[in-house]
Amino acid sequence: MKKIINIFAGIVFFVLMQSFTCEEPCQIHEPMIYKYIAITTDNLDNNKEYQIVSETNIIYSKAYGIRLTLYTDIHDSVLGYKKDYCYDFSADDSIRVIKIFTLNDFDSEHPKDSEISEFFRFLDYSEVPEFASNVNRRSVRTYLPIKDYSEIIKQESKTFIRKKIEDDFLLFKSPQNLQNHQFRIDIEFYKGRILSGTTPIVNFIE
Amino acid sequence: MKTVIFIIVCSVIYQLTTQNCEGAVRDSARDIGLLVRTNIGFIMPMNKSQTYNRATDLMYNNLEDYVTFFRIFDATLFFYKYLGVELSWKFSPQNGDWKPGLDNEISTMYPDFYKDYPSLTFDDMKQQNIMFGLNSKIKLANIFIYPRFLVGGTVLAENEAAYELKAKNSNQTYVVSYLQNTSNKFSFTYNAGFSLVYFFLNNVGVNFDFDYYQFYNKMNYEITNTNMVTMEKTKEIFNYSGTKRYFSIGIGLNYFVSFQRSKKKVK
Repeated sequence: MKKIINIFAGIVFFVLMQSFTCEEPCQIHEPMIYKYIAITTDNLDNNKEYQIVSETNIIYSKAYGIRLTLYTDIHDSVLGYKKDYCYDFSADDSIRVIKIFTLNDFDSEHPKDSEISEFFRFLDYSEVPEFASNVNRRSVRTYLPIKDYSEIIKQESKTFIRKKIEDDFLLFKSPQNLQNHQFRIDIEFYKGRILSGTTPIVNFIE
Repeated sequence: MKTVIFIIVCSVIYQLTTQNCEGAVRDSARDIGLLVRTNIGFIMPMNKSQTYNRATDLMYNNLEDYVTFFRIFDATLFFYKYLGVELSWKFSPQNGDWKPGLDNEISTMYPDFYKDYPSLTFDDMKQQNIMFGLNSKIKLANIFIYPRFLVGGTVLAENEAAYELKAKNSNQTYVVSYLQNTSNKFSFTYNAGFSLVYFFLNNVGVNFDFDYYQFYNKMNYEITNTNMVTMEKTKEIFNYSGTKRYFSIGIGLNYFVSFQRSKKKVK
């Protein structure tokens, strides 16, 4: 009798463990195709601890940035980490390149409508390499060339999808003339489509 | 607590003032056996390392400050009447006093920056000693003296930190890291000392410990300042290597497990 009870208890324990640890297998669906439908651009003020969208558009020239917001047509109900869904997400067209232009004379070498992407850097976060083995580690700001952005967003979209994607580009060169500046961001896709956004006018202060 | 101390003091006074004929029996019963002791006390550094960098001095000297120790495990096996082998483990908890000090120091050094901690390493144990060696015994009136010479290792805590510094009115950020670079985490250590023990009960005694520790610790702090935009790094090294000497005083309890029961029965 004791043996039977032991066997029965073992089966109950096994079933319970299975119910706690096993995930429902995914049923295979067609990949969910989404599209980048629009972009907006805002002036960023980074003079404090963290960057915020400027309300006054009067910003220290050394603390200026542009916030790019990319909108997708993904349905609200499937937002989040890809692993939470059985769907495979895929953009109908990937970003090929992102370019930033000045709509005013930036300096003597960069007149109106020049590309000045090289003066901006994409703000990312990563761990301090020296502390890679430390359990208390947290991410710090890192600054990547704009040419890396298309690859980063491609990698990110493999694991995470959102209706609204916000990324920041910070300026690391001050213009010669501080007044009335505007910038334009062009996002070129592989199929030839271009999405453009223009920032509000910004007045720089030293 | 007061009651316990009162009972111990009364017991000691009673034992000291009473000529007890059973004393000889008890003394011989403490010849061969296992002496277990535990105690608490203070470690006092006899020399302190110092460089001209206040931040690393704070992080390192915290390891050298006056500190409470706990001897949780100590056992001496007396296999001869006057000779035994001892194994001991002693540790000092770390209180983290250096953290606010370092924080203030960083604020003073970089007034035009906002600071954040991407990383902070802090071991709970400031210092640990694991020792092994010889112990002997001298009886002086009602007091036992246990001189000892032990060798073993000292392990010092790792205190490390990194700060992310964001410039005010600018996009510029830096990461300043303070990394402890130790070639030998386990420093070979000598320990000479003695315990004064008075047995106020048959096998239970109170001990007063006096110890001297010496070890060579090879260690430096490397400060790396990284410009996170250009990824340019500047490095500075502050050396804290040297011979460290400590003196410690402790008080606690002893318990003796005799292996001579048969003798007692005969008596």
